[in-house]
Amino acid sequence: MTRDVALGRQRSAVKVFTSMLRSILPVVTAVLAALAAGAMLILISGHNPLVAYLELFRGAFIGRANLANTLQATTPLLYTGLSFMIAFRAGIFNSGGDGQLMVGALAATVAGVLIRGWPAHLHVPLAMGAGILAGAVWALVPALVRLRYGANEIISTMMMNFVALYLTDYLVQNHFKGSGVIGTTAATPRILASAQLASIMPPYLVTAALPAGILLAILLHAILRRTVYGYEINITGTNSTVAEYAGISVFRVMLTAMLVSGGVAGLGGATLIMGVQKRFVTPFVSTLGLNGIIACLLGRNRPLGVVVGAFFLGALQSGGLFLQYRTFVSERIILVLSGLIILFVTATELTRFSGRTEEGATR
Amino acid sequence: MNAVGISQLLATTVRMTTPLVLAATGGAFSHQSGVWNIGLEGMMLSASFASVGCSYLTADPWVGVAAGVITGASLGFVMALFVLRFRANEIIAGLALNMLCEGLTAYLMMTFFGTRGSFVSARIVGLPTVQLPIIKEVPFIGGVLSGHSPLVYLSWVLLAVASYMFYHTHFGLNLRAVGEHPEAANAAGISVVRTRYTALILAGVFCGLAGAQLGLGFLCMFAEGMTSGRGLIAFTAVIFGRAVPCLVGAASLLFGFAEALGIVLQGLNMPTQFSMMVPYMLTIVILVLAVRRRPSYVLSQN
Repeated sequence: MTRDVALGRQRSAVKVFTSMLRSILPVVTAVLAALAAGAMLILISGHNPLVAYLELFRGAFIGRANLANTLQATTPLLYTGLSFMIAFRAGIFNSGGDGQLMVGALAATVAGVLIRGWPAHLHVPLAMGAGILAGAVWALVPALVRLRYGANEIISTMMMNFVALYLTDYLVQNHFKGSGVIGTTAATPRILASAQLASIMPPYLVTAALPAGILLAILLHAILRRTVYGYEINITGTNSTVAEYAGISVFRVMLTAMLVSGGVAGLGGATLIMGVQKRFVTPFVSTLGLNGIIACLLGRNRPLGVVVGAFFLGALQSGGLFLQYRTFVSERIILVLSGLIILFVTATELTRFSGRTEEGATR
Repeated sequence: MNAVGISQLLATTVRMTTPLVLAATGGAFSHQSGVWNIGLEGMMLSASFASVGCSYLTADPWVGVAAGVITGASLGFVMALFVLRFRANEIIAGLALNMLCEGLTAYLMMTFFGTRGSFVSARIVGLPTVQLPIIKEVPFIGGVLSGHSPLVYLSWVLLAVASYMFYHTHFGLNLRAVGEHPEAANAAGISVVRTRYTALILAGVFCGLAGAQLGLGFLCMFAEGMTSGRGLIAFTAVIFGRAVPCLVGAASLLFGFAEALGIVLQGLNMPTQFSMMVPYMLTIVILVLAVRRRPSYVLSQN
């Protein structure tokens, strides 16, 4: 009998493995397809794609400095990826990660500059809290607009990104300008040392925000898997009508999911300031929110998958900068590759091997 | 504000509305066929780049316009291919297309013209301006309506044509049937896939014109991400107008006015940042007014 149980376990392990493989394989195919398409583009621009990709890889992983850059680039993507994931699991498409991150970053900066004389173990959480709060507030508007009036949140969150860009620019330019920045940009004063995150990989700017982000992913994994609230989120995201019939308040679930989503993005902005930038530079051009969407889709909408997706994109980004520096291939190629990857990932029929469509001719 | 100021405001409105109304008309085609086309933004941006680039190379703005239209149509085809053939989620595919186009235009600008940020040159020939014969002489109205690029006038003609097509032709009937009830349309012998292909390619064509107007209609330049959300705003106009051409046109005009107001307010004592926000805030307000029911798209989570 014990042997039967052991066999059963073995079989289920194999099952888990194949099902994992089945969910990962399309992503891998999509990434390869995107790299192939990108290679053609690099070829057109008169460079050798093999050399370029080799440099990209070296810039991402080889050497302590490059690896540190990758980890540094991964950190904010981890937060924006998780942010998008939570809302998406509840059935909300939060494309406003950039705006939420931006206001979170500014709020953390303000808290980091203005509050004086606090010890670090109070100042750091306070600045983070400010970031979370600001991000959540920024997400509240599109959430209410969707839930009260049914207005499309994809558009409204994107519009909130533009509003955040101009609002933060206005606030920094007119009310909160520090000295010492040259050119057309402006910036706030530096945040106090008590609000800064220490490096865990000196001298590089990799901070505790990275392991904290991974912990957050594990926490979210546990919440989604093991708690009632996670169950409610999954049902609401899968079919809100069913959720309503099951007695779940779709309004409450979606609203809280969106607030958490905005808060996590805001936290990502806060840690970016406190760990890396130390001051808010305006205009705050960010594609972190959009890349968070890719990280989530690459990670198949699972918290732990997001960690992998964010790491991959972080590597792509730091590798891209290295590539531009070494070969004069514009790092804009990274944006092209990202767009291609997400396009191929979502093209389910292209990357699935067992042909045959189910829906028939009506699409 | 005096009469000259108001006339200027309205003239700017007419000018700023054109890319919006063109893209929104295109969006009306895809929306009527039942596809949520967020890719308008990327199509417009790429077309803008293509038209500016070709005008620079050939010194003929009309070659530029043609290049923009071809670019838009090709991207419409790509979008259709992924959504219809490869079953991509249309929202995510649109988002991906926008990202791809943003990267691609910046990359190609760097590769071919060696500049970063924006591409300005005296060799980029803009579209000519049209002086309307009699209207030009009318004191106030002449300044508002006359002296724009040909695409400004064409956009409203095309809107009327689209309206006629939707409600008075076979194609329009098929288009609306496919959007309304694909299964029924299929049963009636209409090819859903082919109709949607046509609609998405047409959307690309219109975005091509919109991009050409943006790049060659007034400023004659290209800048990275120069559409700055106009495709999304046009898409909002489509939703607000329920893809009905007259309503879509009216909504575009409203957004064009908001943009013009933002530009004019910059000249007054208002901080630039607030005047820049106007169109985006208005978009959110319009979204609230537009739909009082749940969104009809489906998020696929596989």
